[in-house]
Amino acid sequence: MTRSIVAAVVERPVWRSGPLRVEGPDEDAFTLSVAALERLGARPGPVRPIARATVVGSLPSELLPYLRAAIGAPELPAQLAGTGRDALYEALESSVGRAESEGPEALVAVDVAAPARAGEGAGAPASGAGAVAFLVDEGRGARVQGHGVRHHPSSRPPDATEWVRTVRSSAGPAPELGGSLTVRAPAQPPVLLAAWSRELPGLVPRAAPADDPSLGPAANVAPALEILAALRAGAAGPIRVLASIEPERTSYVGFRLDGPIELHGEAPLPPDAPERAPPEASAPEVPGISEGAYVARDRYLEGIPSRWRFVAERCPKCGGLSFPARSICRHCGCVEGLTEELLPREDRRVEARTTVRAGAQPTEFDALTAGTGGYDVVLVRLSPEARATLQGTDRRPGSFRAGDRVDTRLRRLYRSEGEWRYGRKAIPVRPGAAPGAGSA
Amino acid sequence: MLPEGPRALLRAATHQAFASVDRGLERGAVGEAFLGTLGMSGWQLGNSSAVLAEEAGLPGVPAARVENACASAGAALRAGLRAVESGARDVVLVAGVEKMNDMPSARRRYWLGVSGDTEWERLAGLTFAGVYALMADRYLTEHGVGPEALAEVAVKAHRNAANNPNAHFQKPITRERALSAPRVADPLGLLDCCPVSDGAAAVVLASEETARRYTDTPVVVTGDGAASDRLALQERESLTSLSATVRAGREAFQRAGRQPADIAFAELHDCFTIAELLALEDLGFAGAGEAAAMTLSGATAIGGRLPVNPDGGLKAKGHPIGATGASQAYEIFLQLRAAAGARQVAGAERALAHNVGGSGASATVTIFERGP
Ligand SMILES: [Zn+2]
Repeated sequence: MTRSIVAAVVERPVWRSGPLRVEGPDEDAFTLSVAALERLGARPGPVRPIARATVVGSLPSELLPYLRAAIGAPELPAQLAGTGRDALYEALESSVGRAESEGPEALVAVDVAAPARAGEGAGAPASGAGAVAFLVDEGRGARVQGHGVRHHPSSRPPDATEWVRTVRSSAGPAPELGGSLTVRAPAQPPVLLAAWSRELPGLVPRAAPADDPSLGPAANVAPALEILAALRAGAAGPIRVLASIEPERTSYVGFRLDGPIELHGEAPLPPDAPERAPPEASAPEVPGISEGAYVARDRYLEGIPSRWRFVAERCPKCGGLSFPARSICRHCGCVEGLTEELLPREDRRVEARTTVRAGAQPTEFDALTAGTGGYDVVLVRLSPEARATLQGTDRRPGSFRAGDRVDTRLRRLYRSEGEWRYGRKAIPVRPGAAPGAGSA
Repeated sequence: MLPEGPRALLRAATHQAFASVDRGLERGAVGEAFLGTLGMSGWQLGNSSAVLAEEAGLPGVPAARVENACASAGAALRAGLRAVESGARDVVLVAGVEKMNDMPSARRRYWLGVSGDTEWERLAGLTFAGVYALMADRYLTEHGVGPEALAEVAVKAHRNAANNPNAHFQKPITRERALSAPRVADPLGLLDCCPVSDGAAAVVLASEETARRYTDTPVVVTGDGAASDRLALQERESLTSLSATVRAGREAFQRAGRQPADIAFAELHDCFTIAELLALEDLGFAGAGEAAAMTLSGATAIGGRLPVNPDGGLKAKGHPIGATGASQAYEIFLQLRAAAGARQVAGAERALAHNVGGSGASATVTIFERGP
């Protein structure tokens, strides 16, 4: 057995600004990464828990410990592997190349929206946001066959023949390049997806995923979506090569498919997905009101297992369930031998709801209310023995009703004490995108 | 006129309480004092009971603050009852105070969430209006009733308050106005919510024997009860019943040897209109889901089968948090001595006070009777 990419997930923000999908007031690189990892199933468990996590993209390093907490693996080795196409190719090859004994690895490529700003380089395009998570494990799937960078004078972009030579020389002696070749080039059209055969009939232009108007030139997610599109398009056997030709350099990566990959594309947008203005560079802090109740850092951290992952506890004495988990049975007071139980996070029912209008919100939510005029709060039945109070999101305020089915996602709450506070929120059920559906 | 702070409010309430003792009360008779206050705006977060002793003119008297959010004074009343009951003290002063209007509205909103669950409800964006709105949403859904009964609670409260010179609101409102008021946390609108009020109230407790020295018409506490519940709504058995109220009510009725039918009128904790409907059912005055029809029928109006909150209740008299429990006792004292003027409940001999902390995490119920 060898290691391959065996599964992948696409997660995109629900918020929009014009054609771009952007992080919203409650979505960012962290929440997108967590959502992708959750859908990938990257969590600790009795069978083959993930052994390592790697993030390619603009995730602030101080959030890495939270990423581990979010998937319930506080000791998991997690690393940031830089940003950009080359870093992604490198991270994937390293992961596939690790010894089988190292266990499954989750790799996330994530971008947050970079709004086009006046005076920041003429024509610097805006980009959207999203995350792609890959699961690398022993088994059949997609193997990275090599990657690299080739520098060339900008006056003379390489042609297809040259390309084949390059890939052949770097991918080693074995591969027959029989599949498709994706070429991303600065010429017109700016991006080409080309089918390439052994006989070199030339390049047939086709729109590539990076042309997605909702994404733009996102440096981490666009290349990850190109990989997914190439893997989805081809049959098992030949090597597929993706190349990005820029004026002075070309990055490329080759894959060989030797089995099916579980591909979970982007879920469809809810019909009442909210629009928003382009994200601000910085979010306001909760005003520094010194007295009164607030959730200080230690209490916030202490409650993360239950608030982020719905960890409950089962009592060995009376069999009752306690949620949130507080190391004591709420029914009989037993404090020994309680076992952790994860409550479901998808397809739950709303038991009661309200819409908190501007003026009735705690001060922490002033910024959110200023943009939306209010927000919904729902009491969600997680199991016959447990409920959770969650803010509703991804819909216009006032849209949730008792009886609605909801999923839950980790999202931003507000900024306090110099950092974002995150918590699970309820979203309308997003039917899981069919395997293979998605971004192309 | 200069604004009144907590000291001035306490001074006014305690001195009026002392002045109301028929044959006069020498200060030296007071053996202990209990103060209910949340300490909103942080006016005196620690040791505020010393302020009570100072303002009541009780230097050196042992005093302690009792805090149970909106049920602080209800809990202070219980502390006072136990002190007298045990024989430790002959006369006890119980007071409550809250000054809520001395902060900017943002800071006040900050405070309005301090007595609920912070780790789930607050993080989801709820203050008390939101938590009670969830109960109201569930109540209306479960019992298939419209918002008119909620509005009628407010209409009745404002009508009663118009006859209470101490009330925050002094003007009646119509049901239409209540229903069309701006939404706060739907189904609750602005007129479903108690106002932000300043106030203080005080009562003097004495053993039965001692009381006879001061008056021929004492009001007797014949039973009281209290209970707690999970802080967060999500952890409670029911969303449409406050189990702390149920348990406190049962205990109070049992100690008094009375039943709901024995009660002439009730002071119920109507911080939001839905709370009055829940209390009517939890205390056994109405069956599950029947409080709405009972309210719409006029049974809770003065002159009805069970007048509720003849003083206007929290909803219209006002809800200065720490003072509320004591102000309920004050209203009952007036009513049972037939001194409530235009809002008098005719012939009232027994009454019940119900004081809830936060969204139901604590409750006290006290039964008062006209002295023999
Ligand atoms: Zn147990």
